[in-house]
Amino acid sequence: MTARLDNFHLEKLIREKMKHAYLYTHIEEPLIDQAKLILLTTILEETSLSKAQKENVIITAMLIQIALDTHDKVPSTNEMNEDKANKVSGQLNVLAGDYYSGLYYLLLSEMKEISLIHTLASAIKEINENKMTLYYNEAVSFKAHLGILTTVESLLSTSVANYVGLDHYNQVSREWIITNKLLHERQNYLQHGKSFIIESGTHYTGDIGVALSIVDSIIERGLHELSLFLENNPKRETILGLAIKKLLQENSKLVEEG
Amino acid sequence: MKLARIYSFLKKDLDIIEESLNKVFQTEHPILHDASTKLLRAGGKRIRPVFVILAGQLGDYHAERVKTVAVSLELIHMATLVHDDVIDDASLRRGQPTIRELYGNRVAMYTGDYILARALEEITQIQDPTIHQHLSRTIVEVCIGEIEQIKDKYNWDQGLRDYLRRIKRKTALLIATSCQLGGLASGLTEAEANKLFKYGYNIGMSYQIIDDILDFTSTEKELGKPSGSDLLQGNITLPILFAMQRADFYHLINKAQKNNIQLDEKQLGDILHALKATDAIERSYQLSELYLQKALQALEDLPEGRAKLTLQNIARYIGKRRS
Repeated sequence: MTARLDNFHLEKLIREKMKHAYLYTHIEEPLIDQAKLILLTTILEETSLSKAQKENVIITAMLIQIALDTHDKVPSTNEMNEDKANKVSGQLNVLAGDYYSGLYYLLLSEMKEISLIHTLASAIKEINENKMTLYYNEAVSFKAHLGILTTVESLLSTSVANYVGLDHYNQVSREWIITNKLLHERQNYLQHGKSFIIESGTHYTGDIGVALSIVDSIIERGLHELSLFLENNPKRETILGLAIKKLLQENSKLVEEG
Repeated sequence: MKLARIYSFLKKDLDIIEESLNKVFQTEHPILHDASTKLLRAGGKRIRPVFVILAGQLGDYHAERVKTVAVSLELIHMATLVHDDVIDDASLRRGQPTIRELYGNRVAMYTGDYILARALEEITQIQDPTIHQHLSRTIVEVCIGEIEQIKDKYNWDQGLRDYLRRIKRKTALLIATSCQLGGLASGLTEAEANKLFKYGYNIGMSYQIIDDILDFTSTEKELGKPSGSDLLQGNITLPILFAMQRADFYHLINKAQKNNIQLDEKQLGDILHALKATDAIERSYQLSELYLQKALQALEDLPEGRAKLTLQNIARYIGKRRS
């Protein structure tokens, strides 16, 4: 049995890897998606890899996620040139994303994990194809749109799970990631009136209220599925198990209503 | 003579690579497919694949592996171009509208990421970790180089070493790695592949220095952009660094950028005029020639034959480039 993974330590390692003195004087230091980190830690914890290998796989997957998220911060056309500071931060977001992508490839090539590079590159390819569909609002319905969003958000984790032969995590990965994502978006919308995802729902439904109720129904279903996972899973004390328990407690009202 | 004539005997190999590049973009999303195909049709010199093939021909030529490396490197170069156009807010490339111009920044970002992912999918068909370690280090260095370029804009206190390090990352490394990986893909030893790396590195340095000279000496018609554009955008290149070693030119630059970091056209005109009165252009050519000689020296111990001769001719062509 190898030593257990520590998420605080992992977060520190990820930040050390990404560290670049000049970048962070002009762009925000990237956020590390805790839901995805928890999920990856739980998946890798179940493998027989060495602690260093587990950590490196998690770090690389998170670097890719951060690279993709950073590129989503690049402003749409014309916004980038409004003023010099805005322009430089836009330019550096392009380069920072590319830099993090390069780091993932470097880390895995040093580990001689060529097949994992291939697996993750395939996932990135698929994520970008799906992002195009989301960008142009091309799904058949808002529910389908959110289904594609779920794929975009969970593809890296499910690819890693498949790679290490733990594909039984795929379903819970999707539920865990989309539920967290939509809860965050919902809160943003209710508190600040802003959510790109919920607003895109009006494209399909023509009504923000309808879009919001669809989001709510997916959150409720997600919370229900997560509670079932917890009931049926003997390993409840994993980092993911504890995090699900906390999420269900925090959203008990939604669970009861559901 | 045109550069392409030097390696015209590679036409068949380059056609195979072109065909593979076309196959790479079999994506289901119509706009992603359209954007990638437009990029491909815009063409380009395919100079990186040329270096991969020629380096490969110096060894025990392994067509499939060499093709895989060549396709991947061209894809990486293309991905970089798509993102560079977002950074530079560019509307045209090779006379064609850029992806960001046609579809916006967001689609350009997704297209670039998609192409890079396809490049890595391709290259991972080769299991040799050494190839991936060299390539991944180069990709990271290229990114750092681009970040440094933004950092060094309008930085008049930078030195020659800053400039050389920047162009190494910006241009020389990917050419050097193309040569090195071509050799490794065809079974050359690490030592032989390193000689090819040195050749490519020196060629890349020489090429970029001449590019930077031409930005000052060519006409708007020849360049496709106004003369002195690099300086106008705050990129301080070798001729300016050499000229700044003279007190009067240094004083002129200092005066021009004293109150306003963005030069206006009048200031640019004065600087260009003063630059041509110095020996900076000549000294820049001399440094480019020095790199070129090093490139030729790096080839000395490698096997004789048409591939080596072509690499030598490419070097000489680059050295003579005046437009």
